[in-house]
Amino acid sequence: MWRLTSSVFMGWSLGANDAANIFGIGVTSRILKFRTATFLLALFVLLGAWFEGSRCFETLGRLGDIGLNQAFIVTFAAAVAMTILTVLKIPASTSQAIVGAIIGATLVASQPNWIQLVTMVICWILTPVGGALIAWLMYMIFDAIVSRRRRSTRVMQRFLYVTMVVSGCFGAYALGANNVANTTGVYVNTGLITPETGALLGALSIALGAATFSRKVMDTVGNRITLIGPQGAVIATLAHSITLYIYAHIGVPVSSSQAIVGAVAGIGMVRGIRAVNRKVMRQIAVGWMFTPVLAGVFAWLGVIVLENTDLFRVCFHASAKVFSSFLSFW
Amino acid sequence: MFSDKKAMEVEQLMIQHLVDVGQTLMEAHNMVKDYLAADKVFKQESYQVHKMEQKADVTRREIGLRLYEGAFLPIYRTDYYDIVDRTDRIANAAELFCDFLVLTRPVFHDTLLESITALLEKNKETYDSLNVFFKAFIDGDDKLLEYKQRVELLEKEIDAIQFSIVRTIFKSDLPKADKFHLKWAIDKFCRMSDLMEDLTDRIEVLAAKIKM
Repeated sequence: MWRLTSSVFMGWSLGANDAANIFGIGVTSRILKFRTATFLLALFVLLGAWFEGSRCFETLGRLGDIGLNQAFIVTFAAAVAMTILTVLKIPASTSQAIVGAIIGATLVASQPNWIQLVTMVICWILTPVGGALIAWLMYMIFDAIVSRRRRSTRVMQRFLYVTMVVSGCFGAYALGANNVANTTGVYVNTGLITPETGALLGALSIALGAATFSRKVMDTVGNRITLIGPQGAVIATLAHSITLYIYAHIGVPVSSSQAIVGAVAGIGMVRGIRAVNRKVMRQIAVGWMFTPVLAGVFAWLGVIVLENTDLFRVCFHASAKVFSSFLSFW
Repeated sequence: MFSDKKAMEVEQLMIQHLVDVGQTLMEAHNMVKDYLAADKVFKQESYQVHKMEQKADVTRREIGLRLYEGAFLPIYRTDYYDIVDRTDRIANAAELFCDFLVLTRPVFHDTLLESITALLEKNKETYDSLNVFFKAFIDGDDKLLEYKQRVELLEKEIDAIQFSIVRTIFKSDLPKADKFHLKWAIDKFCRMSDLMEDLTDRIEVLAAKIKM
C-alpha cells in the first residue's frame, strides 16, 4: 500500500494547482471564503470521481500494461516532472504527465496503444479550442440575455455569487470526473485498489492539495478578473467546467489549466482584447511538449533501472520494507 | 452566505453624502445671494458652508471605512470610493468659492447681477439632475443615459452664461485687475458644475463596468 504515496503526491499537486482554476476568482474577489471553497471543492471532486471517474480509469488502463512496481514509477515520474516544470514556472498538465509516464514505462517491455494515444493527443489539442468556443458562445448568450438591460451593482453581485458557486461546484465535479484518474488510475488498473477506493483517495488528495497549497495560486489566477471582468471570469470558469465534463464523458483526462486558458482567450475574442498574451501562449506550448516527454523519459529510465539493476532492486525492496513498517507503525 | 447588507449601507451613505453636498451648495447659494444684496449676514453663512462641508467629509470617511470593511466586490471598491471623492470635490469647490468671496470681496456691478442669478439657478438645477442621475445608477434604472444627458445639457448652458459674463466683464471700463478678479470669481463658481459633469462621466464608466 505504501506505493499509493506517489498517488497522494500527485493528487496533492493537482489540487494545489487546479483548485485555483475553479474557485480562484470566487476566493480572491471575496465572494467565497477560502474554507467554504475548499469544502465545496472536496465534496464535489469526490462526487465527480465517485459517479463519473470510471471512464478515465479505463482509458488510462487501455494505454499500456503496467505492473505494480511500474505503477509506482509511473506516478512518481509524473509527479517529479510536474514538480520540475512547476518550479521552472512552466504550466504543466497532470493528464499529460501521467500519460507520458505510462507510455515511457510501457515502451521498456512492449508497445503502448498508439491509437489510444493519438485519440488523447487530439483531445488535448481540442481542449483549449473547445474551452474558447464554449466561452465565446456562452458570453454571446449572456450578453444578449443578461446584459440587455442595466442592473444595479447589488443585483449583479447576487447574480455573480450564485453563478460563481454553481459553476465552481460543477467545475469541481468535472475535475473529479476527469482528473482523479491521473492520481490513482494506474493503481486501479493494476488491481491494487478498487475504482471506489481510487476515487476516494484521489479526491481526498486533491482536497488536501487545495486546502494546503492553493491559496497563493488562487491569488495569481484571481488577477484574471481585472482583465475580463467578474462576469467574464464566471463564464470562463463555467466554460472550463463544461469542457472538462465533456472529456470526462468521452473518457479522456485533459488539462484543467489549458481549458481555462482557452476559455479566457475565448472571452477576450468577444471583447476584442488580447486576454492571453504571447508569453503565456509560449509557456503553454513549452509545457505541452515537455510535460509528457519529461514524464515519459523519467518513467522509462525508472523502469529500466528497476528491472535491470540487482543492486537497485535490493535497495528498492529494502526501502519499501522500511517505509511499509514506518506506515504500519503510525 | 453572501450578503449585500454592507453594500446597501454604503449606497444609503452615498445618498446621504449627496444630500450633505447639496446642503453645502444651498448654503453657498444663500451666501452668494446675500453677498450680492450687500447683506452682512453672508459672513455667518460662510460659516454654515464650512460646517456643511465638514459634515460631508465625515460621511465620506464613513463610506471609505465601510468599503474597507468589505462592501462591494474588491474590483468595484476603488470605483465607488472615487465616485464619493468626486462628489466631495463639489462641496470643496463651493467652500473654496465662498472663501474667495469672503477673503477677496470682488465687486459685481449691477449689469452682472441678472446673469449671476441665472448661474445660481442653473447650478441648482444641475445638482438636482445629478441627484436623479445618481439614484438611477443605484437603482439600476435603464434611463441612466437620458439623465446624464440632462446634466450635460445644463452644464453647457452654464458654460454659455459664464462665457457671456466674462465677455461683458472684459468689455467694461473696469481696471484690468478688477476684470481678472471677477473672472476668477466666475470661474470658481462654474467649477462646481464642471465637477458635476465629471462625476456623471465617472459613474457612467462604472455602470458600463458593472453591466459587462
